[in-house]
Amino acid sequence: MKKVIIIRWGELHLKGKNRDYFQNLLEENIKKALKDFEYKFVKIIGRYLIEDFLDLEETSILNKLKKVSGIHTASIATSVTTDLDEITKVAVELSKYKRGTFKVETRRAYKEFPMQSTEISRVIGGAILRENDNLSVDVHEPDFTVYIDMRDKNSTLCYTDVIKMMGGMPVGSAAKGMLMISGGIDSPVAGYMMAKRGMKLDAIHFHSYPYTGEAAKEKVITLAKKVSEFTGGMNLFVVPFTEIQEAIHEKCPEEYMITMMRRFMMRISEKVASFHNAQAIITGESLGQVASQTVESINSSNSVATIPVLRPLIAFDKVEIIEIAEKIDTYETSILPYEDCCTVFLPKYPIIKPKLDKVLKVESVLDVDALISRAIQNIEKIEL
Amino acid sequence: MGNILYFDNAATTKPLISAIEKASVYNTEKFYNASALYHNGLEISKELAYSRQIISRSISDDFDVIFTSCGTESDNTAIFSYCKRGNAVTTLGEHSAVHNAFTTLKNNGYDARFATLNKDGSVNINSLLSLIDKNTVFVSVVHVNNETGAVNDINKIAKLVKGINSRIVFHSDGVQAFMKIPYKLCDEIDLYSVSAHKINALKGVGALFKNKKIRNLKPYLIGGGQESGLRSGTENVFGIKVFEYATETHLKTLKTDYSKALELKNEFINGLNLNRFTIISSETSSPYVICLSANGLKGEVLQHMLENDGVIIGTGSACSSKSPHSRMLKSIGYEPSVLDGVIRISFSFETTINEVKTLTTLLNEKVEILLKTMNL
Repeated sequence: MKKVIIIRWGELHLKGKNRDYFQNLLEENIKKALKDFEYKFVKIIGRYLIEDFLDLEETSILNKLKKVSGIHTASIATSVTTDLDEITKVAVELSKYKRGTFKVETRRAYKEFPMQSTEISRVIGGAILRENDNLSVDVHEPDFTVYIDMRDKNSTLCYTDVIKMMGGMPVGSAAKGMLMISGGIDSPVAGYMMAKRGMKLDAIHFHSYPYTGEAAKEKVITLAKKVSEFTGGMNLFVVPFTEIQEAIHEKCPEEYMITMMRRFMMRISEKVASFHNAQAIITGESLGQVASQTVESINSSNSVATIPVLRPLIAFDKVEIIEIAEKIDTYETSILPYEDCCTVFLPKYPIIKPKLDKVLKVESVLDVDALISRAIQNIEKIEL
Repeated sequence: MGNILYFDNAATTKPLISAIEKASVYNTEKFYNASALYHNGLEISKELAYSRQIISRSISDDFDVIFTSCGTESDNTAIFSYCKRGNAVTTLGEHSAVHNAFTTLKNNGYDARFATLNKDGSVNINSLLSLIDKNTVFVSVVHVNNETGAVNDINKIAKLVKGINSRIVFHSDGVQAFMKIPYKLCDEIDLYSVSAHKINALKGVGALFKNKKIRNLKPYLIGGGQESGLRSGTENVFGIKVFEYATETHLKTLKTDYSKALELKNEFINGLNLNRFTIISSETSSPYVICLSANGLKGEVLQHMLENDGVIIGTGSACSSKSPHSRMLKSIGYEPSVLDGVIRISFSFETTINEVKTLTTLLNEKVEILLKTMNL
């Protein structure tokens, strides 16, 4: 008798001929997430099993697995030899302190076992009822289910809970993206969403010392690190942005400050993306949330990008974004109020619907290429 | 970064190496539990009694001293012990350890009242007295304000308060006053909080001074009954001994250090380009803390610019620097443009005139650079 973690995937089986590719990725990602643990990885049909781990590491392993995209559900099961008495003993133990209604669901992959699934369920259900007066059977809407999974002669898995995991697709199955990360609530969530869809990520941050301080940068590193737990590591590129901000502030009309900044950030992000084989840029933009997130504003920054700019939060409400931020544990960090790169030079009345021809004219006074190349030369790379 | 000039002593101070070395024996041979009944334990308990005496007599005529883990714990112990019925009065100029304890009480339906402040952050005494009535059980007034250095004459205030209602328990947070300004606690003061790391001792140690007259102080931590049952938890002997030694060291030079700090303050204000800065602290405030604002600029940006040159200054209270504007200065009515630019300079007994000169020169210089960059 031993503890086993059952890992189930969802969408992967939809992928036809690519299934092996997706499964290999998932397997690799799981092994990477569990690199600090001792365990045995077992592949069975439709599931993976984590076996032979230390009891006291069960929670830590499960928490790591919760951050591996592509895993849809998991269960912590007890594995026993396929012997009805043994199985019954475990099933009784599992339901010992429960109350309410239950059913037993048996899956008999080990066809040599001399009883039918329904019969097995009935026998085990009867034993559970005898041992616990607080339970009754309800096969339609039970409060909990005792699952009996007969794999082979040596092993039957018994469990009651199916834990919802991250879902999505394995990271690495959808190329790499460059996440523009600001220190706010939205961008880490955007990164998480793309990781969930299988994207590997690097992140880029624009830092304006002394207008933004070390604490603000540390905050971004903390956030990026949290996102990187879902992507199996990432690089964070910190771009010195002070000179560009000062140049825009000096030479362009105040109301275009943010529009101009966004265009510079987009250009630099694309350059860095291409150096590091990222094929898309990810932003946390959400339509209409602030002045720079109108369609017109998005158009003005989008027009300098030649690779796709993915905006997974574009139609999300703030409360929906916050909900995810809380789930992935970035919210508390995001709301720390250090000077944000925008706030110092924030215009009183930013232009809400910039026209592209006007934007180009405003920008023409700046030596865009020189500014960008100086910023890129001084990028700091942080491996997370 | 080479030599760092540190002007954030109101946040914390550099520990005295001599005190740490002298106390190190309490981390080695004298490691025993002060509550133990064998000789070695009793010895420690006696040594703690001695620390208590030294610290008590430094500012009082034989108050009890209860060792705690920090100023915040001392404040909380006092407040939550008494604010259970009637009403309690404090000021809008308190450190968060008092302010947030009071707002928590208020949010739970308790009648907690806040007196308004004068322009420099000291309490408006009329406002304070007007809030006190026959049902008031507790009054807390900070001694030296941690943001502006404003000094409240707590001896006078305690007497006025007790004149209205003699049963009131009067508490003061003395964290920024202790071993900085010369004073003795009068008999109308009942409870007084101090913190060790603000006087070149270590973090993790504080004390609550308790007037022997008051009897119904309730513990905040309950357990093994240490500190006469008023603060359970095994004593931090090493930290307390460092606290004692630091107190002793400061006590010897308290008055001369104070006059020196006054000179530093004058030097600082005279050296500053006052067209660019608004001094918020008043002439009568503690010379160790100067609050000012770089008009229209951001204090944090200025802080970073100075940091680049190895000079560390504060922006408002470090404990509240997670919220953009000072709650206290906002309550006085300063405009956002002033609040944005707030910086805090705080000296230690080791700060020199030359260091202050370097600071003013740099501040004047950086403010011009920043104004130019911002097109202001």
